[in-house]
Amino acid sequence: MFAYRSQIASLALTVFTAYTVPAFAQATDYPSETVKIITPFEAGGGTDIVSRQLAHKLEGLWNNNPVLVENKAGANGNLGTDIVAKSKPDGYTLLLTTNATIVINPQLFGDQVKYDPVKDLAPVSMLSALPFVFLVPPSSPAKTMEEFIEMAKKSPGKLGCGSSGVGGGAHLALEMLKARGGLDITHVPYKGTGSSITALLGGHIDCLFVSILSASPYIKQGQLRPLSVSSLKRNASLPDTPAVAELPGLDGFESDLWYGLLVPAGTDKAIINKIHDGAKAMIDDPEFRSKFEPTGAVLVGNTPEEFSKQIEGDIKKWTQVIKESGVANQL
Amino acid sequence: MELLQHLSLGFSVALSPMNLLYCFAGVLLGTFIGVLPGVGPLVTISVLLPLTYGLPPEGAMIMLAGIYYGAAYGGSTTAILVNLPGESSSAVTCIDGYQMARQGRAGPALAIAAIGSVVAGCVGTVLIALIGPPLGEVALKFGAAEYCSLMLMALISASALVRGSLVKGMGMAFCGAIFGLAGTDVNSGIDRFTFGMNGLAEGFDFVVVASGLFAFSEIIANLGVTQHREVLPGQVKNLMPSREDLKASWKPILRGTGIGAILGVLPGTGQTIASFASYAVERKLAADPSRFGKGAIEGVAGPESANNAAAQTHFIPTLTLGIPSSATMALLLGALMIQGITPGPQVMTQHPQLFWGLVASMWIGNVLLVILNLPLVGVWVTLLKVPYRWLYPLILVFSCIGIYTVNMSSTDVAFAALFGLIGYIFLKLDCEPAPFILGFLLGPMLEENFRRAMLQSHGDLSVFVTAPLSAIFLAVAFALMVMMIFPMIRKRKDQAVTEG
Repeated sequence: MFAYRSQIASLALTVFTAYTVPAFAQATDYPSETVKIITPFEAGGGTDIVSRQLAHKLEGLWNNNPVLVENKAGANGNLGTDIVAKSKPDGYTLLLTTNATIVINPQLFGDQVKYDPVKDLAPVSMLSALPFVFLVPPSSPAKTMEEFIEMAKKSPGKLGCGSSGVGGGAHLALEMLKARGGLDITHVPYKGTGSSITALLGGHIDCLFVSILSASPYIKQGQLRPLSVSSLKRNASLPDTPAVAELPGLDGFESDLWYGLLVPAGTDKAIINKIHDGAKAMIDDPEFRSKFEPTGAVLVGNTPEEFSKQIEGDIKKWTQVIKESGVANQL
Repeated sequence: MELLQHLSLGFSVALSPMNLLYCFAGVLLGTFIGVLPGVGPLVTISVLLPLTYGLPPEGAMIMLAGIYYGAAYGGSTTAILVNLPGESSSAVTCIDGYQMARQGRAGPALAIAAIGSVVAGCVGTVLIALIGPPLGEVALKFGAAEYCSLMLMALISASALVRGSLVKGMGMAFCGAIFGLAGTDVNSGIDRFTFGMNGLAEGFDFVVVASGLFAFSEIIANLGVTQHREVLPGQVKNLMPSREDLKASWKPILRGTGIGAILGVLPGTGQTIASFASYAVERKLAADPSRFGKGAIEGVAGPESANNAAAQTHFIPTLTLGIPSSATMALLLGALMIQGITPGPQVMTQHPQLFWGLVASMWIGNVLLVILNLPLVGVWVTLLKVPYRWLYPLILVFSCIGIYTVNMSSTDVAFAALFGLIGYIFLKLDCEPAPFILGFLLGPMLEENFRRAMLQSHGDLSVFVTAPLSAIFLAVAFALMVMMIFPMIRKRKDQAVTEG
């Protein structure tokens, strides 16, 4: 009965879309079994939270077909990404990850990364982008980004800037700032974002890049002072904080953290589109927007083609930063 | 006055029938899952986290906190019954708790652990309510140099844990530190001692090491004894602690509570150091230190209280600063975010009903825990009546499931087997696993903070004495060392005198 109905449906689809959609039967049957969203980071983290929202939305859109979230953390996210890269391209294994495992880690870790993010994975949609905020403690003499840069130039090597860990987004944003601004700042890596914020609150380090999601509570309470944001433009939730790119000599500076949805390469185009439509529906949902926009996240939901271009450009950018800063040689 | 208002708000939230139910459900589920061998609070919370997604924020946090202490207590139960610590802080409970169980005193050991926990839990909660925010600030005073000196002090004071040869104890601690260093180095991002294995990129998990070293090696050792062996079940005496037990325990419980409450505030390290420190203190103060390691009830009462007091004050940095003080707390913060509440210092002011409701529920949760667990003592002790030929395979199977769930990795199970073998060799060489565990946990943190301090001071070693807190810890460490060496010298002199 069910098969019969879906046959009619696919017939109807053929009529309407003519022959532009190959393998239509697959796409209309989809999804008929449990869909897994693999997130290569720990439960409770940013990707996990977005994954669960997406799973909930997709279940609703797909007649309660189960959509599960699996956390496969480890090796800076490479572990879970590799699992999806090697999964069957049938649309039942999705990857919700950050730019780290797609455009940064392959450049950073070389042979340790066992997948090719372009050849093994197909982009579905970039969901959101989070800028990093450059923070200093309230006791810092630097009131603006210009003042900070001047301070760093006056005493090369003396200032310590924390990060959430070697090779993480906060570290690379710092390396980009050092390279573009010609600054000599000591990098002090910590074990995770939380402990790096603690160190900044205690004044044990002089500055820190933190994703806007984690930074905003401390900014609102006046416990930490934002000097700039790492996105190309200012962020709506921090309208008075300039973008690094606004500073002289730093134009075009962009170092965001983004969340994206991908599937194994070779997945049927119609299935990709169906997943994309689901993700887009979540992004456009006013309830979702009201939950995530106040955190400073910029909601995107672009098309697979746009996302693919973004990845291409980002790989170029990060390859250069990683080469110039010599970060990869330290690893 | 304000405090009373806050507390009455808190209790009005926590005592609502639904929240009371969530609290009870959390404690119950936490206890039953936490009591599975190899399953500690971290695994329990991550397994049960999705259960709370549908609840209102207060209910979810109250239930998760309930799961947390339920699981912590469940972890101590397995430490006492089958020598299997569920988390780092109950590793100490194994030392004397398991010996008590072997002597047929599992009941009193479990009961004292429950009583100590409830006392410590209540005191810890009062502290959160009274001085939570200023105490949270203390955590901020700790920079790399302070942490480094604190670890050094902890490691030196822990040599008091060693029975017998000091050299063996030191050797075990170093050995543990080497195993602890496996994984990605925080300061450089380089993989160390991983031999190119993906499964080792994050290092050895505590549960893997502890299950192998404590439980598996014990099982292997017991299989080797063919003739009559000490059988636990036949000798089970009374279930509840005697008057003497209580008399011996009340001071350790109070001291442990104090130590735990203070150290628990420190993110990352506090809870583990707390139970080890309490054990060291009790051993130092005991009239007859040689009883320790052979089933001294003080060795259970002190560390268990310290552990639970620290578990409560551990919430302080998490709630007042929004900083996860451990992996478990990070999960709780994640749960808050799923509820649409951004963790951070503003939670206390913007969501007072959540903050104070949670604080009040901790009191209730701790009381529920003891009400639930005292009758259960009998049930757990009966478990020991299961013949070894059934009990051992069961422990092994459940441990393997527990180990697997931590990272969903079968390599971890193989590593646990390896540590079982290593532990057996240690046992045969008469080397204690406790210093190994302490070295395993603190060694890497000592190194990380030492190198961070060096990075920040540009290689200037004087930071360790110019930072006041750090200087105090170093002075204490030095004094402890002198105190340890002095009796040895005196003994030798006495010997020389008698010989002369």
